[in-house]
Amino acid sequence: MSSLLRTVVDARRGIEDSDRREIEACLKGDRQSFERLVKRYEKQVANLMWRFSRDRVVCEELVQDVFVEAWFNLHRYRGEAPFVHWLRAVGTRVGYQYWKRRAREKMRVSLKEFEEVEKAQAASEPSSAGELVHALFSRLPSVDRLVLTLMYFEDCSTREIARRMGWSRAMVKMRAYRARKKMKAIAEEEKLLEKLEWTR
Amino acid sequence: MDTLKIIEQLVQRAREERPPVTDVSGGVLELIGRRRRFEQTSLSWFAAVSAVAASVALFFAVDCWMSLSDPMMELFAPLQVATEMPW
Repeated sequence: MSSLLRTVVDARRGIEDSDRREIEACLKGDRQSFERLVKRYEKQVANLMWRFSRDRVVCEELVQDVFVEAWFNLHRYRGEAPFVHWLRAVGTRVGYQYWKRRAREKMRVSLKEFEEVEKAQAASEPSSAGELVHALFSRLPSVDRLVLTLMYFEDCSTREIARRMGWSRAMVKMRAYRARKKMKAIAEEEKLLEKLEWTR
Repeated sequence: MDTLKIIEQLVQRAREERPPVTDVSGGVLELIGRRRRFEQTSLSWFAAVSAVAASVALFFAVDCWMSLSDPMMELFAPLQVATEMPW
């Protein structure tokens, strides 16, 4: 067991050392190194950005934006935490900006659009469940939506959310409480419990 | 059952979902190059416009400088004229 743990720790340290070397090369203008970093973390960033948009094209654009932002802000990475953590923080900010832009355009996904999904009780499928949660969260203001997305999908603590967004922890706690309350009200208004028979 | 518990169950299902496979490395490098070119072009334009504005300002400044006279001269000029008069 301890040898397995040591192997995992060594592997992680190896990746971090490799990241550091690639980042140093990037700061000298080496784009090939950055391409290697993109390939290494693309999947993890795509996983995060999928929570911000379920449109494949938009999701891919967001992933690109995250890496472009990362390239132009690479000098700000201090190397105190693993590179992927920093990349996730950049991704969270890019996604949040995207939501705020969309909110200005007054675009909203209605839960009613998913009536067919609900009728077929297909919400037990991960992708349908994902669509339903996405539609439910989209009813919330961008800040509340972000807090819940990070808590539920990224397993972020209030401290981590506050760190990523530069907010106070008290503000995050208050937002989380209010967001849950609002989400519950929306779900009850839409009679979500009655529609989802598989949960009984 | 509590609504929040149901939503948490939904989230658990949603987390099992696999996001779409992306291949953005080429696009990222292209975007970086494009943004860099745009920044360099904007900077060049800004520098050119600034240089033109500075040249115009210098042209008028030299003209004004040449027309300037010593303020003391304004004071002593009538005296000088007076002393030079053949009394």
